[in-house]
Amino acid sequence: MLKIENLHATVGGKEVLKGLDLEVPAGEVHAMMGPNGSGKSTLSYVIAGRDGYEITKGRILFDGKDTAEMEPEERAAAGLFLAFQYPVEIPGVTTTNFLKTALNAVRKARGEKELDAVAFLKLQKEKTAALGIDTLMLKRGLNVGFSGGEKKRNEVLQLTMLSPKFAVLDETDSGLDIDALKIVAEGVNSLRGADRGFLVITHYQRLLDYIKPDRVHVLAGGKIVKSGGPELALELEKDGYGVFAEQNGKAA
Amino acid sequence: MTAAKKQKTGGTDHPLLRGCGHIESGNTPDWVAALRETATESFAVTGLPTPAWEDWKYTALRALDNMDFARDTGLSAVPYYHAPFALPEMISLRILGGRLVKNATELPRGLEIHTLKDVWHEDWVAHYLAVPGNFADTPLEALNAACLCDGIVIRVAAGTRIEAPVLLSFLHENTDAEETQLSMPRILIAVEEGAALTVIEHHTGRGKYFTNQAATITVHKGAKLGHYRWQDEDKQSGFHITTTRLSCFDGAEYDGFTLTTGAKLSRHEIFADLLGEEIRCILNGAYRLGERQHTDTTLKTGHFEPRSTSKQIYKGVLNDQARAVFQGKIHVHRHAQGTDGHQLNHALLLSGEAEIDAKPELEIYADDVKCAHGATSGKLDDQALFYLKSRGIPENTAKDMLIEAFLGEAIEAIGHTAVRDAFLHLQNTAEQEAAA
Repeated sequence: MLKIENLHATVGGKEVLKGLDLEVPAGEVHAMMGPNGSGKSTLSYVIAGRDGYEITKGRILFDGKDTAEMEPEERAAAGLFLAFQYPVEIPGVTTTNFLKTALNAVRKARGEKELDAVAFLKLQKEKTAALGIDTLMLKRGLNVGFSGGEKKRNEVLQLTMLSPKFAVLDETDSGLDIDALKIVAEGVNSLRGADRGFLVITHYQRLLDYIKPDRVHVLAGGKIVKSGGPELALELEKDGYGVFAEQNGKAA
Repeated sequence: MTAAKKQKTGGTDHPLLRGCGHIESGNTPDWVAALRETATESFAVTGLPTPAWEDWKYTALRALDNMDFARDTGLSAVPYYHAPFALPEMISLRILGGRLVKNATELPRGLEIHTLKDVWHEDWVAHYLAVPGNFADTPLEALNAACLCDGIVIRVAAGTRIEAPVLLSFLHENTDAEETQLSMPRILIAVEEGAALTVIEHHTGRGKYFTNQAATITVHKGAKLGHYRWQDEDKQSGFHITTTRLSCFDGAEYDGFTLTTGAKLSRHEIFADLLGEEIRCILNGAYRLGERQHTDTTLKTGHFEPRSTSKQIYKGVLNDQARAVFQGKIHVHRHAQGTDGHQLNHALLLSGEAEIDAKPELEIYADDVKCAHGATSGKLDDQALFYLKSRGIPENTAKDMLIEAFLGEAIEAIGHTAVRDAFLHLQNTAEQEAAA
């Protein structure tokens, strides 16, 4: 579903990804772990198509299609989703207005009928309740005055509302207490299925107790240095990233 | 070319004075004749201001130099006009060629609305308008007075609170003629002691015209006026200048807001005199311009007595080669202890060629005051834009959402709830039109 081949990418002229290969087939959840500065967030932004994150070599294929020329909104319409590590605050745009505009834009791009206000509110109510989100939050400016945990829940709300084919979760666990972590994981797990894939980026193993990955990769120095089954995450938890620090250091 | 070159400065045969055409003199009160004469003499000396004038440094009226003018007779039909919104009990009036079109609307008790000519013999009208003004610094106001032949007069009797908002629609239609039509609306709004009123102005039209409005507004002791304007003139060939003289007395509340989306060139100059204590005077606004549109907001607020509050918060969005000017001055006189003055201009520049010139100024002669002023300019937030796009929202929609949110914050401050909602909606509509 998502296939990354020999990806080299620069940020502000500095090469951060240096030949990364990854394939996540439909129906699987892969975890991407690694020390700080290894390029995890860069990878997520490159997949989403953020300006300033430039691919210098290699390519990212989504459903067999090269994403290089696709705008972020085209990627979203095609079914890619990024849950941000640092969700952006937008005063004056309410969460409801934002969700409705996004959902209908995506539906329209997919040739589906746009939802009217009634159908939209019904869906929103259902998804909001499942994540334990206070509906008052939906009337406020997007992420404005939200706590770290509320922001992350809001990301997962967007995920469940838009139900993309493939989601990248960038450190969605950071800033969450254990109860919030469980709720967020349930939200993600509810979407798992044979035709959907996930890339879960995390620094800690904790989230993977709740979202069980099929594969775990270690990113260091801009490339994948080790891959394995779920047990790899447990090893990392025990031994730390020390063994990869050298590779990471060399890269930086 | 030299022979054809039109006179630029001064003289009583200035094209703009000539454009006013014949002004009837029969049966006009003495004060009108005297005012016209003083104003004509003043304009003959100054002519139009040039960028050499300090207050006009950023706004050039060159475009008016080479035009031929004709007085707007107000006879052209304006069939397409629909009020931009309907508010409960709204009293809707049309002004064509600076003249009020009479209609049979029955007015609430205590509210008077007249065409100036009908009441200019009355003492109270002369009291407000027969001011032997000094026009040396305000040539456009002089031009309006020089051509004075009618206007709109609104008065609310003491102690009367009028719930029904009054909508004044200033309409222009001049798509065929060679000449630029001149329209010189003269407005008087007097809210007597303890009274309350809401007035909305909508300035719109099509074709070549120049609206040069002068307004005298007095909010007496304990009175309230909500005054909301939408300047929606023709973007290609409409010119709009308004000079407002606002006087507030003890405990008065003036809540003003101007939304500017129209006109090739516009300027709103307000002289707000806070002549009493504990006045609350709000002069807020928002602008959204594109192409080569130009707008200028020049505010001069004078605090003369203790403990009054004044606020001037403007937010604007400029695209293409559009340009905005914001000049604000708060003058706190010696007696005005406890003054609270606040002035800000925030501009978003969507293109490298758009320009904002902001000049906030404070002049303080009292020692116990709280005053702040500032100006910012910036671009749309890239992070926010990427966030919206990453959720599938197309770039143009995402930009509109951010712009709407930015201007919405200014509009939210409108004190009258129904007008606020209507203006929020207007802003959205104006954007959709701009995008289409």
